Amino acid sequence: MSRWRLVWRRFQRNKSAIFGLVVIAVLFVAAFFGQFITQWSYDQIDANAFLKPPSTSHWFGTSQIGQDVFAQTMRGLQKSLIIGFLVGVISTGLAAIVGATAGYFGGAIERSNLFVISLLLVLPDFLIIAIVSPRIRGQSWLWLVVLISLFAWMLTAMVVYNLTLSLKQREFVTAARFMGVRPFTVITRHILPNMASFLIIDTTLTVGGAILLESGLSYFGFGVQPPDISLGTLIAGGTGSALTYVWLFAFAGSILTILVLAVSLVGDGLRDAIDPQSEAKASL
Amino acid sequence: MTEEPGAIAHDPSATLSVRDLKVTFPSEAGAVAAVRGVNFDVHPGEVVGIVGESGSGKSTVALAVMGLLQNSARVTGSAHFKGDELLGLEDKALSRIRGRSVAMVFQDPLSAFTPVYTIGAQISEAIRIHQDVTKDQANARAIELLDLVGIPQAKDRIRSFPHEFSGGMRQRAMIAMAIANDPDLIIADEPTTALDVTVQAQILDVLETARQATKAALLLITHDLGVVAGTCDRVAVMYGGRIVETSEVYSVFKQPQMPYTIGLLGAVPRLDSGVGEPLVPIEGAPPNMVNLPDACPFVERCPIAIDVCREREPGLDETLTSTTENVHQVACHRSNEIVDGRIDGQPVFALPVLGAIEHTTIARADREVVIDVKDLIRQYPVRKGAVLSRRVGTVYAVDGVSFDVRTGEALALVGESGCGKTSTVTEILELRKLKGGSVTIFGKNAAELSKDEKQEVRRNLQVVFQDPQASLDPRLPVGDILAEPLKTHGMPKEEQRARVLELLSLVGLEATHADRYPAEFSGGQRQRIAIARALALNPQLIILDEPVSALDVSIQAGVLNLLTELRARLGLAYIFVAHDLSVVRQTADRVAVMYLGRIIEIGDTDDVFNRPWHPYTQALLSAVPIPDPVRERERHRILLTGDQPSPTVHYEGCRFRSRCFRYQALPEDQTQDCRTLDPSLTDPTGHDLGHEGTHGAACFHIEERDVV
Repeated sequence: MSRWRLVWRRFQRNKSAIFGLVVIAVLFVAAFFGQFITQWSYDQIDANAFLKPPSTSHWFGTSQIGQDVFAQTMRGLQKSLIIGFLVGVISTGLAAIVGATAGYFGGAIERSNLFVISLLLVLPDFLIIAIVSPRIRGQSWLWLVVLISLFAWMLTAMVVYNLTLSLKQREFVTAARFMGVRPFTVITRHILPNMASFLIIDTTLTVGGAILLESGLSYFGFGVQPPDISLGTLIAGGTGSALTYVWLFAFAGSILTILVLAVSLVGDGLRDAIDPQSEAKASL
Repeated sequence: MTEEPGAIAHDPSATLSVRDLKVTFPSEAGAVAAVRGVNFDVHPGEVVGIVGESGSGKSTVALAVMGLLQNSARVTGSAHFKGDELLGLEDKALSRIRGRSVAMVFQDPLSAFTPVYTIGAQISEAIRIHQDVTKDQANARAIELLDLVGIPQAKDRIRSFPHEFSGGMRQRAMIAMAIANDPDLIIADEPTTALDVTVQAQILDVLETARQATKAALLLITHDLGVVAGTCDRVAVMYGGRIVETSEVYSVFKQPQMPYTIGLLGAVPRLDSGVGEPLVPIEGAPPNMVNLPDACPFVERCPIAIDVCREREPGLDETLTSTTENVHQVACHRSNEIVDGRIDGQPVFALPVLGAIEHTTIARADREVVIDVKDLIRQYPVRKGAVLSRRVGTVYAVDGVSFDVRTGEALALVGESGCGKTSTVTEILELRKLKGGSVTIFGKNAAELSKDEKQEVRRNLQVVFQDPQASLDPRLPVGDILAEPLKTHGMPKEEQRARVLELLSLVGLEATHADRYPAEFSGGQRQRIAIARALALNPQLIILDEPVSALDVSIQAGVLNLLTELRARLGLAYIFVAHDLSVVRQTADRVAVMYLGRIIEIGDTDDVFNRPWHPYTQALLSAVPIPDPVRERERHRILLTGDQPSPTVHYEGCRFRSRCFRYQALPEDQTQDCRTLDPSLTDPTGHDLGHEGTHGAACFHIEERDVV
């Protein structure tokens, strides 16, 4: 599609966004294939190396009980990435459905959807997840994804709602309606695809937020539970020795920072590339 | 500014003298050469028109001269204003000239005023910036100016904010501001394009008054050949960023020698032509202004192009008929072979042959009624307050409209903006319970349809909207857009593709177009796609909501011809909503003129155009300019006073009374009916017009008048 080719060309011009994209790609590869390039696995214990600084054998050093920090960090990164992207997709999808139906149908559906949105907006998400999470202890980490998603979609839904209100007035939607096309088909065929750019940008930005929220929760023990590992639990485990055994903390911490930064850079780059308002910067 | 060798010297006597003006914009696709070497002079007191279609560069010329282009534009060449160079001046120096010696009138008067200051404050500000006067003096002058441009009660209206003015009044105020400092040159960029025809007539009148009051020269930029014919002394036709023909106005209209000008004149729908006469479309689309080759920019659309046209771009040269008093220049290699729009005795653009409409042989009364609308009412609530909104009034958008359309017939609903014509058709399309009146469509009452019946009606009732850019989903390829109605109404997938290809060829597009996206098409092609979509299910009735008003003249002609031809071939019925009366003349069998939510005159097209009965119809017709300077300047224009009254009030008596010239001329004792009774559609003898009657007007004092 020529429009997306144009977007891609503009995106390429944005150096920091390209940098972000490369960083994300590298982290992804490392998270899923890192375990194959080191001889250690994340749950293996090297009885000969307790709390050893980084070396040629253990690239990120070892922990108190001899676990390889590199393998653990990659495993944690993997979990954080999966959670982040799942939350991004689920919450944006939820927002699209709730917002678009509220905007398109109006009436009772509009009122009830908007009520739910406003209600969830005023609830403190971190606290609620912290309270609920002990109940799901011992069950799959996927529940955590559901919980975080549940509190991440409302603002997006408000934007989708308003976009729908204006798209509904557009003639191609009216034309479809007068043609006898069913309402849900109108939403999925005409309304949502026309805000695809917004949804894509929003998904990207939510990913960053979700990774941070997950890490924060895990840090306090409310998030990912052992034996699963995420960047948050690694950072929590390493804080105590942040000044004495730096490698326990520093690698997970910096990877988290770099990841979220990269995701934000890509999100900003996408917005600039897709947004038609941005002035043509091509030179003559 | 460096002058290229061979450049023509500036004319020292001219108010504005532009030489070799070039403007280039950056874009993703490459540099866009919007203006490519334009020369023209505007002499003191002269009216020069620049005509061209969208993308021809006509507005860019004006903006470049005024130094109002965006910073990324590259402007070269030279523009002398009374001997002083304008191009390349600092913004500060330019600002001293802008507004004082050169004034500008823009197309959209709403965005030309700051919404937070009163009209008076903005006009007196313009005065005080350039003249050393006190606040009171400036204010007095502002009142004087508003009075000059015909704003009633100028003393009070000076305290109004821009949003309290109607479009026409804002444009008047804009002109008042433009002439505030007694300029030597007024540049008017499409000054009447956003306005209704009766208001356009008023504004052109005001512009002429303003020009005479200031003795300024006027540079009029427009796409409307009719406006040019009525107002300009000289005209320059622009195409592809260059002037392709320029001369004194009479010779351009009488002896055009550039094929593009000839085509344009043939493509304009005219009020004074017969019904069903085909227009001459110019095939193809204007050139892409990126990387133009060294060839005539019109070559792809020119019916008489020869090899040399593709090899070398013609210069703007004087023709054989050119004289020293009347310089006629044309940029065409074959211009000297063209005489009276003909070359070797053949017309440059051959008249297309359209199929005759079969139904015309059957009497109207014997044809089946497709849709019957009776006393249709549509009201909108007026609400006030953001939190606790309460209803404070009602807009009577459609206030008792009745008409019927029979098979194979095209009914045009015409009227100015706000008359309720679009509300009428959307109310029909919604197929819902009505506030009042009834719609019987294909023999069934629209308000009482079951779900299945509704779907069946939708199948036979299709719509084409005004703006093809907005009515086609930009994210779907054309094939999917055309398949949508087929899919919705359950056509098997295998057959869909074949039907899509059939539809494309029906509207004159190619099979390969099915895989492209709407953005890759020109405006005219997009409207053809929208028409193809409406035809997909073989409907009986198509509602066309201003189907050509967003298109350029040369493209509009092709779409109008297509509509006429499809109607003849497929036996369709149309409801054709339009604000432009000349468009309707060629396309419609019957015309209904609307005013303030009511049809005030209805009849066969020939009757309404040749023998209009209602004073409003007469004023409307007289306000439409005819693209022929000789005829246009002989016509008597009926100027209506004021604007259309507010539709939020129910008026006692005739709703047109407040602006009616006939009412004003009547002796007191004959105005009783006009003041107290609501007129219904009758013929001149006062007989009520049933559905059988063909011509009727809602007026107590019907009087025939020839206005075209």
